[in-house]
Amino acid sequence: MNNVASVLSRLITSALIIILVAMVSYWVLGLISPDETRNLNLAQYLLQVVSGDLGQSQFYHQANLQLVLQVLPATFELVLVTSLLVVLVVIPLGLFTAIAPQHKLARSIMAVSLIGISLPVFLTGSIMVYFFAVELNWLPTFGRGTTVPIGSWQSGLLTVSGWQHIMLPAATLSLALLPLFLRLLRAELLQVMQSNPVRLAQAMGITPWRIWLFYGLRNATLPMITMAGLQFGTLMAYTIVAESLFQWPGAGSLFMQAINRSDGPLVSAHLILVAIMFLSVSAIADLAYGLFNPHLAAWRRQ
Amino acid sequence: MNAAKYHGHHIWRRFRRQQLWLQLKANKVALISSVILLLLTVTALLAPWLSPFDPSVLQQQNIMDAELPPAWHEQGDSRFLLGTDGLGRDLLSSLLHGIRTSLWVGFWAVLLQLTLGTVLGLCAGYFGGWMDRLVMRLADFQLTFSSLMLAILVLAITRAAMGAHDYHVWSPWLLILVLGLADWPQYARTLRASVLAEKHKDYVAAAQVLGYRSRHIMVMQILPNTLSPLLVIATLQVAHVILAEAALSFLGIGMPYGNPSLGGMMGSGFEYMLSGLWWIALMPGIALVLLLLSINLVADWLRDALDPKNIGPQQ
Amino acid sequence: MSLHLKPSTRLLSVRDLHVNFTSRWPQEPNIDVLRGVSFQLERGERLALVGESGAGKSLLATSIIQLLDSSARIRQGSVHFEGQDLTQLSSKQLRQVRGRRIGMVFQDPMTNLNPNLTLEQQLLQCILSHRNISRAEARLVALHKLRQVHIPAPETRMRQYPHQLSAGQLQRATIAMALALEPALIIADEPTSALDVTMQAEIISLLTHLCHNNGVALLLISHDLSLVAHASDRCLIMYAGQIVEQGHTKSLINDAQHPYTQSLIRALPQMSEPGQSLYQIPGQMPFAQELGNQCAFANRCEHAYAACWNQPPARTVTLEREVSCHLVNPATAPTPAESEP
Repeated sequence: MNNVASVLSRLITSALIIILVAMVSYWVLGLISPDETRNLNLAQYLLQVVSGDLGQSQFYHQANLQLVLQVLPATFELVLVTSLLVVLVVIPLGLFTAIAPQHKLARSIMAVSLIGISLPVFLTGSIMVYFFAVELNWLPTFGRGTTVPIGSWQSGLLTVSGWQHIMLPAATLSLALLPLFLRLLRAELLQVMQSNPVRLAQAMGITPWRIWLFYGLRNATLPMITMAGLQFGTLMAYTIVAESLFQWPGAGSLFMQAINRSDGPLVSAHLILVAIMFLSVSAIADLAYGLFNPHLAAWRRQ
Repeated sequence: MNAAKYHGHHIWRRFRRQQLWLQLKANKVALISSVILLLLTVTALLAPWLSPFDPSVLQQQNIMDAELPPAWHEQGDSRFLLGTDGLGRDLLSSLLHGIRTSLWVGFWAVLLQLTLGTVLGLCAGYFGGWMDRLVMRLADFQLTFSSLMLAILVLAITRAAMGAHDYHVWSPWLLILVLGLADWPQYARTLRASVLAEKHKDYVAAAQVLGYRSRHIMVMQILPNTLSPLLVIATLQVAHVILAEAALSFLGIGMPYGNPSLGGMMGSGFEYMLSGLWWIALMPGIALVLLLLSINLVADWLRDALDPKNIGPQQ
Repeated sequence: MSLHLKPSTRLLSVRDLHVNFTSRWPQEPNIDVLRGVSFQLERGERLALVGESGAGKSLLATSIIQLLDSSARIRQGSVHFEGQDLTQLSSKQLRQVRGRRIGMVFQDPMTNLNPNLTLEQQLLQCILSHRNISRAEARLVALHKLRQVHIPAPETRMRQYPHQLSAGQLQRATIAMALALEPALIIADEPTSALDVTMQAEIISLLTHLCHNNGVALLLISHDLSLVAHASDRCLIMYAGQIVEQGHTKSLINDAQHPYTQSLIRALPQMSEPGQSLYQIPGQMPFAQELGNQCAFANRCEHAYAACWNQPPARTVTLEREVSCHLVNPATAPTPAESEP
C-alpha cells in the first residue's frame, strides 16, 4: 500500500511540475515568437501539451516532438558511452588512490585530477581535436558517421565509422566528469576504509580484495548514486557544449540551432522535454538507490 | 587541548597571529598558486595600460597581420608576442582584457551569490518552518539542475527573444545576474546549519525569556563562525563562475563578440584550430586554466588552513 | 613467571609492549599510550582486562593483532602467539592469524557489521577468506555457528541485514563470526557496553561458555569489574597504559593490593550500603604526556608518599600476584612515619 501511495504522490508532483514548466514555456514562446501565441491562449497550449502535441517548428515545419525524437538517440548514445568510460576508469583509479593514498602514482593521479577539475570541456575538446584529428588525422571531428536503424532508433554504435565518430566527443565529456567523480569516490572510499565494519573485517582477516569490493565499493555505492543524480544538470550542460563543439547531431545541437534561428516553438518544446528528462532521471536515481539500499530493499520484500 | 580555544576563531585574528602567513609559507603549492593568482589579478586590473594594443580600437587592427603565430615562432612578429587572431588582433592584449573580464564577472557574481545565500540561509535557519522547507527545497532543486544549465537556458532564451544584436548590449550584466542568482545553495546551507547549531544554545533561550532580541546576538555570534567556510566556498565559486562564463561565451550566449573574453576567444579560435592554427584557441585556454587552477589551489589551501581540526597540536 | 607452571600451554605472551602515537606536529613529542605492558595467557584460559576508559585497553587489543591506526606505532616489546612474534609478521602472515587463530568481538555490533551485506554474506566473506571450501559448505558452517550462539530461526535471520536485527542478536552474530574458524583465542573488547543491561550478563555467559566448551581462550576487556568477576579466571588491572595488578580474579577481588584496584572495588555498587552514596575515585587519570618520573596513580592515591612522586614503582611478583606499587614493594615501602598523611 505504502508503495502505491508513494508512486502516486510522485506522479502527481511530476504532473504538477510539468504543467508549471509548460506555463513557463508558453511565456517563452510568446517572448521569442509573439505571433505563435496570438491565436493560442494558455489553456489551449496546456491542453495541447497534455495531449502530447508540442507544436511545430518554424524553421523545419515539422512536429517538434518528432524532431527531438529523431536526434535523441545521438545524445543518448553519447551519454551512454561517456558514462561507461567514466565508470570503467573511475572505479579502478578510485580504489587504487584510496587504498594506497601515499603511493607516488596515486599522488600524481590526484594532482592530475586537480588540474582536470580546472580544465573546461571546450579546452580539452579543442586540444583533442588538434592532436587526434588535425595533427595525427586519426579521428573525425564532426557528425556521427554511418548509422544503422534499429526500428526507429538510429544507432551509431553498430558501425566502425560510428565508433570512430563518438570517440572524441565521448572522451572529451568523460574527461570533464572524471576528476569530479574520481575525487568523490576516493573521498568516500577513504572514509569507508576507516569505518568500523572495515576494521572488523580486517580484524577477522578477510582477504583484501573482498574488503575493497564488498566493504569499500559496496558501501560507497549509495553516496555515489546520489552524487551521480546530482550531477545530471552539469552533465546536460556539458553535453550541450560538447555537442556544439563536435557538431554532434543531438538534442543539444538542435537546441542551440533553435536559439540561433529564434525558433520559438522548438525552444519551448525543449523546455518541456528537459523537465521530463529531469523527472525521469531523478526517478531512475531513486530506483537505483532503493535497489542498493538494504533498508529499502528489506521494506520492499515485506 | 588548544583546539577548543581556537574553535571560534576569526580569520583576521588568525591572520594577525600570522598563522595563515606561516602556513602559506610552508605550503609550496599554495604559495606558488597565490603568487600566480596575484600576478594575474594585477595584470588584469592594469590591462588597459599594460597591453600593447587596445582590442576594441578597430584602427589598430590590420588584416595583413592576421593569423600570425607567436613571436618565438619563425614566422612570428615581434610586435605580437603571442601571435594574432583571424582579424589581426594582438592575442596578448585580448588575453589580458579577457582575464579582466573573467575576474570582473567572477567578482560581482560571487558577491551577489554571497548576499543572496547569506540572507536565505539566515532566514531558513532562524524562522524555520515552511520558510526553511521552501528554501531547502529550492536549494536542492538548484543544486541538481546546476547553475550552468540554468544559465544556458535563461541566457539562450533571452538571446532568442531579443535577437543577437540587442542581446549583446545587455549580456555582460545578464551574465552576472544569472550566475549570481543561480549559485546560492551552498552558502545558504552552511549558514542554515550554523544558525541551527547556535539556536539551541542556552543564551538564545535565556535572551528570549528575558525579552531581549536574540536575533542581533545570534547574527553577531554566527557570522564570525561561518566566515571561514563562506570564504572557502566563495573562492571556489569564483572559479566556478569564471568557468561558466567561459562556457557560455564559448557557446555564443555569454560575452558579446566585441568584448574580449577567454571563452569567446576560444570559441572563435576553434575553427582556426581545425586548419592547424592552434595558438588562437590555445593561448586563451592556457590563460583560463592557469587562472582556474590557481584559484582552486588557493581555495584548497584555505580550506585546510582554516579548518579548526588542523589548528594547534593534536589531542 | 611463578604463575605459569606449565610453559607448554602458553598461548599468548605480551612482553614489555610500548605503543606510542606519533604527533602530527613536529614540535610535539610522541605520546606513549602503552608503557611496558606484559602478561601471559594460557590455552583455554579466561583472562579479564579491566580499567577505566582511556587506560589503553582497546589499544592493547588492537596492538595484539597488529591492527593499529596509522598514527600509532609499536615502539618496543613483543607479542608472542602460538610460537611466533606477531610484531615481526608480514601483513600476509598476519592475515593467517587474524580471524583464523584470533577472533575479535568489538563493542558496538550496530556499527561494526557492514550495513549493506546480509549476515550470511558477512559470515561467508569471513569463512571463504580463510578456508578453501564451497559456498554451500561455508553456509553450513555459518548456520552451525549461528545455532551455537542461540540465534532463533538462523536460516531466516541469515538472510537479513543488520538493521533488521536487535543489538543482542547482532552481538551474537559477531560472536558466531569470531568463532567461525575455530580460533585459539577470542579478544572481546567491551562486548556488552552497547547493549541493554538485561542482555549483558546473557552475552557474557554465552561467550564464556562457548569459549570453555570449545577450548578457546578468552581475553575479555571491560571497564566493569563486577561484570567480569564471574567470567574470568584471572584478571589484569590496567591504569594509564600500564598493568598495575594481576592475579586470580577471586583472590584479587578479595584481597586487592594496589590502591587503584582497592578503589575500583570500593566503587562497585554492591559495595555500598543502600542509601549511601556511591564511592567515586577522586581526580582524573593523567595524560600520558604529563607523566614525569612518578607513579601514574600518585595524584589520586590516598596513600601516596614521597617515593611515589619520585620514581615509578617496580613490579613486585609474588606467587599469586604481580603488583606495581611502592607500598607493596618491601624495598620501597614507607616507614611508619612516612605513611601517615
